Amino acid sequence: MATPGHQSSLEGLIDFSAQPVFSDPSERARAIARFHRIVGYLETIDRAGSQYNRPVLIRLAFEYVRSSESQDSFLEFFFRTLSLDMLDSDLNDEACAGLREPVIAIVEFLMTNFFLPRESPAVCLPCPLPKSPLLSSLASLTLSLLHPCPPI
Amino acid sequence: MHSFVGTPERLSALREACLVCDRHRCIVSHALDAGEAARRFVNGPAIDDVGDPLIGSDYQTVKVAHIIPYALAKAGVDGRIHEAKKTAIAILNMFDLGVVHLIEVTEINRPYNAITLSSIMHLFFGNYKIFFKGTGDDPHTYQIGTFLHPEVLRLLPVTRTLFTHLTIDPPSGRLLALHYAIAHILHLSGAGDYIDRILRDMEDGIVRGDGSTELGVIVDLALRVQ
Repeated sequence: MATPGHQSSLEGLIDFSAQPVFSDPSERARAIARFHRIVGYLETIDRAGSQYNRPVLIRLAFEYVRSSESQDSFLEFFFRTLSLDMLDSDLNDEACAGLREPVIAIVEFLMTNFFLPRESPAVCLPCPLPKSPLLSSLASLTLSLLHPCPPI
Repeated sequence: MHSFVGTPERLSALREACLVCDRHRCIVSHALDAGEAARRFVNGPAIDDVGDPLIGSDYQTVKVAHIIPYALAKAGVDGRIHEAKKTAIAILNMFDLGVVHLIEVTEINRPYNAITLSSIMHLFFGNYKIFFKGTGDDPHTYQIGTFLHPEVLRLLPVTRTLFTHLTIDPPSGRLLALHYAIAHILHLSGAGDYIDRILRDMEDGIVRGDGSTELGVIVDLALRVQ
């Protein structure tokens, strides 16, 4: 099974070239079908529990990217991270299940590096005095994306 | 140059430009900035930015906010953009190839990346609970919707055509579309609620007895800001 390793190792994989990802529309269609096959299967077996549905997040991220060129880059990143050929034949359920771990790693990479807090401008998020010593160091956290910058 | 990204002078200039472009009104509620109204009633003339009398207007505290947070392009004390931010920008660029040129370095403080909002709209725009969807009828017309309960913002959904100005760029439809995409990814996957809950636990200092507190994530976040 291909594994993407530590999340930080994914950083180099989001540096896209200016070259077209696919040589023709049929290649693109095959890659999209392969993507949906993997993510669709994982959606059915992911037990979100108290968390969010991680395969759903990766599917939505693909669906909401802004253009076909952006989608192509997203697919390139996805398959490169999984060390999978974008155009291989279809995968059976067992093969899809074996990709769960690296797909979850991609989602956690996006969460850690994009959606979750990353710096501490205290003015952004005034917090009440934390009650827990463990959490006290987090009082000044804010989000780079999910919370607004302070108004100008 | 990076260290100039968030200088008070640049931010002040951006604020002024955005307020002028948006006519000192929240672009969602259309309420006029209360402070500006108070000054105009005292100093005169008591008219709005297009010359109509202020009497009978709605007034609210309005704020100018970035569409894409300038923290992404803000340099550290050493004047450099740190690797973590570069990664975040690269991911943002993956969502919309080429958008990085609109937000990198000083570009992030251009008027097209700013909007005037009332305090409550600023709060919910910043945490992706309200969003702008272009109607396609006009490049500056949007339907503004929300994921919140209808009672929280009874004004929404509403359709607004943004004000335009001869020399100041209006809010970028491309950046608002990116905000819309992020909002929907977070909401539809449940990740937004998940993050909200982590933040509430952090703010309240709660460690839940049922083991559902995301201590791993919280500890990781703590390490990242040390």
